[in-house]
Amino acid sequence: MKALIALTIAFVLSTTNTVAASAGSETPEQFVEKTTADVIAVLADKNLDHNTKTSRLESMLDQRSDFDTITKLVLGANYRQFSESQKGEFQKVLREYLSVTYGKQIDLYVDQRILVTGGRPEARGDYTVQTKLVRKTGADLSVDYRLRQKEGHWVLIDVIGEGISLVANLRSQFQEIITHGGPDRLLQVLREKNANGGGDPVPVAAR
Amino acid sequence: MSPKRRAPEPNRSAVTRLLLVLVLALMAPIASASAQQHSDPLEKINRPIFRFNDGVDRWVMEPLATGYDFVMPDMAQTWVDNFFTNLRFPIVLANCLLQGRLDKGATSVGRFVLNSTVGVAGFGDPATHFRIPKPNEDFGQTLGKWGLEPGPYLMLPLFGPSDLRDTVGSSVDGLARVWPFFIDPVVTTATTSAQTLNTRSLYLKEVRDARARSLDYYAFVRDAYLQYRQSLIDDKIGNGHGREPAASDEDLYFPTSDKE
Repeated sequence: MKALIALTIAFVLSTTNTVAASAGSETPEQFVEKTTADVIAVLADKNLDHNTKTSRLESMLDQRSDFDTITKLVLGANYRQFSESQKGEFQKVLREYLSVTYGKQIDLYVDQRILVTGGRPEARGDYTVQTKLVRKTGADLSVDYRLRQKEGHWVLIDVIGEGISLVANLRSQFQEIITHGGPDRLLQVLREKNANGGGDPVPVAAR
Repeated sequence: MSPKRRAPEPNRSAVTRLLLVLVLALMAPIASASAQQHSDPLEKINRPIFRFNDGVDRWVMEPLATGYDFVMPDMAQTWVDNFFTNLRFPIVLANCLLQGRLDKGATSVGRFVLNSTVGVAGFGDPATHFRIPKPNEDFGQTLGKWGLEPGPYLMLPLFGPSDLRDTVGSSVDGLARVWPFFIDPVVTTATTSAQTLNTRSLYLKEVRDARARSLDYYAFVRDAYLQYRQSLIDDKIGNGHGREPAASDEDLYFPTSDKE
């Protein structure tokens, strides 16, 4: 259950957790500190309406995460099953899916602090920054950020909330859908989800 | 044919069942797949059970928990949660020791003493206030630390997601609960129900969100459960310490499709 909270938060942060800045000699920890601080500044700004916040956070996301890589990671071995046009379409609907479903959380922001607690180098130059999300109520949550070097600066490729990787969780769901219906089915499911505003729960009776 | 069969003694049959599960669990490594490709050979059985559980949750648990959440002050919900968490102390301590983690064991003793006294029988949680870490150990994790594989993913009726290792683990932890032996079953049943309801009431929003946004809710829950359990075993959560990159990370972050 705690995992669910963490996953929710990881999702929110993953969609919001990026900011424009030139990286250069920035350390991974600095990248995460700056990014989270800027995200919180937008979230906590009472003068901005929902749409302004959403678009600002989206442009941060575009600049400081690597969507090409994320697209490959969430599809895993299935990536090769996708034609070029399906890949392009998938990337578009995936971005929209994350934005629509987790963008809703933007207005639910309440006073939270993010403390960087450590970091570790990963295989092939990747780096994980560990943080703790301190909430006013409830226990602290552990949120890790997986970064990769791209063109000389760090980009975000995964968010791991309470040990649950967003990329792995999405891959597992996508795998299930692709197994039963192929790439087209996955695209269709994502489009439907986006069309109904990120999927308010469908009443059981209507199923 | 054989003459009259003796009726099995109830206690012995429970023990036999447990042993059977243990034997199965020991065989599990042979059956289990790699870490990333979750082992779910029972998906065809698990899915209907998941639908049943989800139905019970939507139609019974969620409405009850919503009502409970409405009448209970948030503070009281936290107290109840603290109280039951504190009662898990013997299980946590035993598993810290079984894992050879004396440091964590000492922390859990400290927490228990502080929360049971200053925290008034465990309703308060001054230990967290003083930033004392909260060891979260159980026998499923202990088995994992000992090198036992999770085995197939299991969806248990009414109990929810598990795997073979954790099913064995929670059965053993269940035996270690002290109070059922001397407290009236009516009381223990009532307390367990209260605990379940209270816990469910703390996660109303999270479960609704998860249901709404997942594309395949079954796969979402399965993956979240298995990842979370593995992270607990690896002590990856909330300790701020570095760890060795897990072997399973390789496939996740450098999939073969990437090496074209």
